[in-house]
Amino acid sequence: MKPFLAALLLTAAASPALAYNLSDPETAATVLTLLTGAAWLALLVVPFGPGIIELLYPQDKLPLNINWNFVKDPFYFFKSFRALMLAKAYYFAKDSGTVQIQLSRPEDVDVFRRLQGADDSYYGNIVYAKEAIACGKNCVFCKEVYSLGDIDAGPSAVFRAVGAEGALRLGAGSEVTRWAAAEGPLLAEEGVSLGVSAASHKSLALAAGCLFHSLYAPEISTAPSNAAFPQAGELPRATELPACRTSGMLITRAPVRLRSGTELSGSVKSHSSVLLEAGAKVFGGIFAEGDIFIGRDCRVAGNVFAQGSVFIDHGVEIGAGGGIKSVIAKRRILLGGGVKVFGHISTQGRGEVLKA
Amino acid sequence: MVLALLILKIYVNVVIALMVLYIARQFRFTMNRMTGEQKMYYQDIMDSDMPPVTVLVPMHNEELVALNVLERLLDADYPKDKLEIIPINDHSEDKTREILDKFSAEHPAIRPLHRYAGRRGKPAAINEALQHATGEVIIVFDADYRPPRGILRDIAVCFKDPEVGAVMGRVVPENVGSNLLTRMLDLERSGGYQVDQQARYNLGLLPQYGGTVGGFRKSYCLHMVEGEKVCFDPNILTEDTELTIKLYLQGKQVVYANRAECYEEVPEDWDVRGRQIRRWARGHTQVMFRYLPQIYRSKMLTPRQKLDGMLLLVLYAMPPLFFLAVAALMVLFFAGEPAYATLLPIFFLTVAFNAFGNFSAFFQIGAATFIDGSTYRIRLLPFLMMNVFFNGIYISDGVIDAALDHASGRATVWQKTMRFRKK
Repeated sequence: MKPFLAALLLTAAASPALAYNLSDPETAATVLTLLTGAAWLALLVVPFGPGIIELLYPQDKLPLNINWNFVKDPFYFFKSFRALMLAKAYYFAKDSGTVQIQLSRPEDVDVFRRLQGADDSYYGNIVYAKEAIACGKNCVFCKEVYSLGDIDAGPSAVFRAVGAEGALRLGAGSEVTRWAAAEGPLLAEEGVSLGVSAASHKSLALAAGCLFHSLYAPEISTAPSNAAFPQAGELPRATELPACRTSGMLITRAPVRLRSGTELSGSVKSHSSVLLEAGAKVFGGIFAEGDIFIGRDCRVAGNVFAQGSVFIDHGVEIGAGGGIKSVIAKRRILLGGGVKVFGHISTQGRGEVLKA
Repeated sequence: MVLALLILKIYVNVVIALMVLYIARQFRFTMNRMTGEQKMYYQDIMDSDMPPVTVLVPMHNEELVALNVLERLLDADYPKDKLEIIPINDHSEDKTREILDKFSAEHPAIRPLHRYAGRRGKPAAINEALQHATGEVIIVFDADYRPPRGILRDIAVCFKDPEVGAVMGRVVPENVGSNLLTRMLDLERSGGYQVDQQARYNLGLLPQYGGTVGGFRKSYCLHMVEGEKVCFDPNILTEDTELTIKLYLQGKQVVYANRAECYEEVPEDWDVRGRQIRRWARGHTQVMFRYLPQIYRSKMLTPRQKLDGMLLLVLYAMPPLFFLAVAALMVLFFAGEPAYATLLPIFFLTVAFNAFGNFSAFFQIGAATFIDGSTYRIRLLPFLMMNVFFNGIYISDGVIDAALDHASGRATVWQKTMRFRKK
């Protein structure tokens, strides 16, 4: 039926056109003009076609989504996963075995009272321990791991995500892909990769060579180190503050250099880089459009925020016990040995502790 | 006659050059958003010592929406001992006063300010509220806005940077699906925030404080007028643009927080929209008359910032300049200069569409919807062509209003934008 109708339409449309004598130059010119005009109109109208369809049959008329309840919470993933697990805890009545639960899809959960994993063990399911988890070297956990007690992972363990209601120790060379969180202290031994985020409600201790993106704990510390820390380059035409005790805001487009012995009560803002020489103290924040270099044994009471990188030499303290301050860098954060940050460290780029 | 024609030709070419400059600027912004390095906002900072904040919500006959915004603010994730909320009842004649009194009796954090004396309007209302505000950081929401839980922290945290004088969040239309106008406004807003504001922030130019979903540092903004500390000139209809320029002239910064998103209600009626544009154009041009020379002479701004600032202030003057250039083209045509009347009008219209007809160029809007992941609304882009003429006419009206204000020194009257929310 459809081909027949199409043929009928084409014939009907063609018959008046056939009546024109196109060999006559004037008629041909007129027809050409009309055709050009029709094509021009069509070209003008065609771009509106998809829009008209969208107006008549809208597929995208809802407002852009805003997450009403979003608040910044470094334990967000841990809390979400814990809530899921505890909601299903009713099914984990036995002390060991595998239980299937419904999360976003059906998931198998390996339940243990106390998991004592041998070297080179492989766990393909979610792991849930009612007391504690301890595993030897080279253990691989493909899915989330949750313990109501401590977790003690041997060297070179691999986790997708790991959360402990007690303490969490990650053996040297372990790797976390997504998040690690603990209610108790979190200890990362040498060369641990801490994934997207690591958080503890007590403390977070990092050995040399650890990698991270985001860290949170009332006290974040790195192990003492004697390794040579990369030194800042020259800061040409820098605004310099000599060794003195002064107060106020230092805001400048130029680079800033605070000499050893300087004590500034106030914040620093530079449109370039900021360098604190060894022992300088800033009782405020440091903000820079470039990099921030904080020399050995410096003290910064406020936040450190750089659109470039942040380099924190040995023995530096940022923030103070009982409060939360942040070290944020877009490109890179390098922590020396014996560094203490009371609060939060985050970078979109590479975060690392200086290798031994 | 020859001299007059020469002047017309020069005028037309200057307008074309300006329009090309605007296109180049907007193209630069778009490329920056699509391929350039993005500057971090301060949202990742976690600090246990947040600054004291006062939230101001100016209200004139807002009985339909008053409760909603206050309830949302009470639910905000901000230390309660550092948060003060002042809804400003500005000469309301409906039940706004009763609603505020009843609500504040139940919630002590809300301290309404009733104004029935003095001048009406947002700048005057905020000036008076600032006399009562205890917070160092002032955050402003219009009454029809619905702030999410985390937005106060996201806005206030940037004031840890001592150079920041004001911050602007992103406005997202909520009633997008109401009609063609709301859908086009949604596209305009996307382009204006997702690309234009963010690119200006990335490039170290002059992002704008927009008067709502944003905040400013009180101590940087107050100045003495007739023995009283005020922030805004009540004669200026776009107090936000004036504050932006004043801060830059002081060497302070305005930053843009793309993550601090908040729903607003956009006009659903062409007449209401027209009046809104006219008010914006009038206020913006008032600021242009007052601050354009100061921007040019400023020692606080870099040459790039000066250029961006001047283009920002002249933006609303472009439609009347364009219409005058079209008239000049017609004169040139009848005066025997056909070259100025054949290709140029087509070029003019194309450039106008790109440069200023909408509040964002079409490629900016396209890039913004792409970044937002809005795959189907981008199809409505050609309809924005209508806005070139609609906006142009109302903007021209506003610019003429401002020119008359400037010449006569007359007082302005604040026109509130009508609300469309159902009870």
